[in-house]
Amino acid sequence: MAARRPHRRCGQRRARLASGGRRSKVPFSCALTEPSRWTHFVARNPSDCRSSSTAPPTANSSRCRSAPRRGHARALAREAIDEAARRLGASRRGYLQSLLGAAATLAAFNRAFAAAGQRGGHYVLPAEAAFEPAAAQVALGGDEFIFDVQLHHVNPQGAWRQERRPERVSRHAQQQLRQGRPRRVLLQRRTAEGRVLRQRHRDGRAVACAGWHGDQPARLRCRRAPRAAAANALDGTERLLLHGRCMPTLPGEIDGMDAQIAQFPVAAFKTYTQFGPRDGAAGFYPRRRPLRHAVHRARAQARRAPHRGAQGPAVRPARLRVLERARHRASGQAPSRT
Amino acid sequence: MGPGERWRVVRQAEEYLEGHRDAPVRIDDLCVAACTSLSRLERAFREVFGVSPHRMLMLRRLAAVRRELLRADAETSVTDVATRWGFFHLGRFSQDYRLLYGERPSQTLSVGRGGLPAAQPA
Repeated sequence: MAARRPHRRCGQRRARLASGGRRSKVPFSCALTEPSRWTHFVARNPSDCRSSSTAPPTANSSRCRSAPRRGHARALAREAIDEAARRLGASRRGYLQSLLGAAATLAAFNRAFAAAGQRGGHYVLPAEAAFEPAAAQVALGGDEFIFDVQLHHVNPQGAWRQERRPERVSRHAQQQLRQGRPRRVLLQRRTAEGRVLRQRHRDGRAVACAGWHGDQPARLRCRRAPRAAAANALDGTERLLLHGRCMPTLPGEIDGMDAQIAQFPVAAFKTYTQFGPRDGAAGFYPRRRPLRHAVHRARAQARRAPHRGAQGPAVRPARLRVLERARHRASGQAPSRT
Repeated sequence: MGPGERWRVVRQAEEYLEGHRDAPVRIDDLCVAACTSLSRLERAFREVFGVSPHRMLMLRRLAAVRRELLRADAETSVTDVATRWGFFHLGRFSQDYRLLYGERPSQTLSVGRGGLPAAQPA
């Protein structure tokens, strides 16, 4: 029988869980210090800057890094989780590992940042909304609408343009071709561009593709009709998030972020990093300096969240009327229908 | 159970609950609506909500009782509303209600009637 040895990092002996009667692999107090072994536990309850590994995580500001701020956020999160678990009749550990625990943690962080004068407090929820569906429905009810205009910068001479022969594609693709679907199903699946363009063409989404002429982007195709139809279908009750564009290797793009923020209420900046320097001077890898500059600029200027993805360049002033309604709703004011 | 299967089970169960807001729901009904077994339903609810389906249904019934008490008239009594939603052990019901909402059902009833909440005993 193996002897019970102290844990190598915290020195505690493995504890027996009162609920299940099984031995835990790591003492609970040490679990938070070992994200590699408890990734599900820590990832759902982040208390520090994180990254999706496409870009280095940007450190929190000095105000957020200060111990009182962080302690305040953690104390709020712990208090919210304890209270919710007690009232729902769930174990604290089980509640913390559920998605509701993650939501309670993020809500506590939102309150902490709002109290510290940071960006936060977007959604003002009454305290009883956590336990009363009717109260939550009043504050958050309505259809969610994500308006995500996508733009892909691709190499026009890339391997993805070499269509596969129809007899080499799958039966499903052959059936789509017989039904008159576009020939994009023939794009090379093994290239990044081919995978993206095959996947991103879905119903209800507007897609714009762009190619390159030298080092300058050139739009190849822009399907504006679905995008316009989706914008016209908004009735002012949706939450609308605008994404700004930033291709950091193009001249003037980083400085243009300020102009986008001044002109439109940009919620986030998006960029695509799926091509490398081998495809031209504008290409870059996600861990390189250009993207870091864009990330720092976004955080320093407006604290927008930069993330990898598509971009929305074609926001027209006429659509801001719809956006204003959504903002009025988010701020609790009655939207004015014009 | 993968994330996709888990979300499918939870979403279908939620849709069923949303469609039967004014009637008590049994766990068997949720299993049939979500096309899954009791064990998988249990696991999905614990991973998403942190509580079991049985506990979730009870919380839902408590919310329904509170909703009715807040819209009560002069003829409404706590016992009638509680028994209509399947709470026959009134002492246990009052205890669970107070744990969840921080007040007694009679206090909610007085608020629903438009009066001031009854004084809480020390």
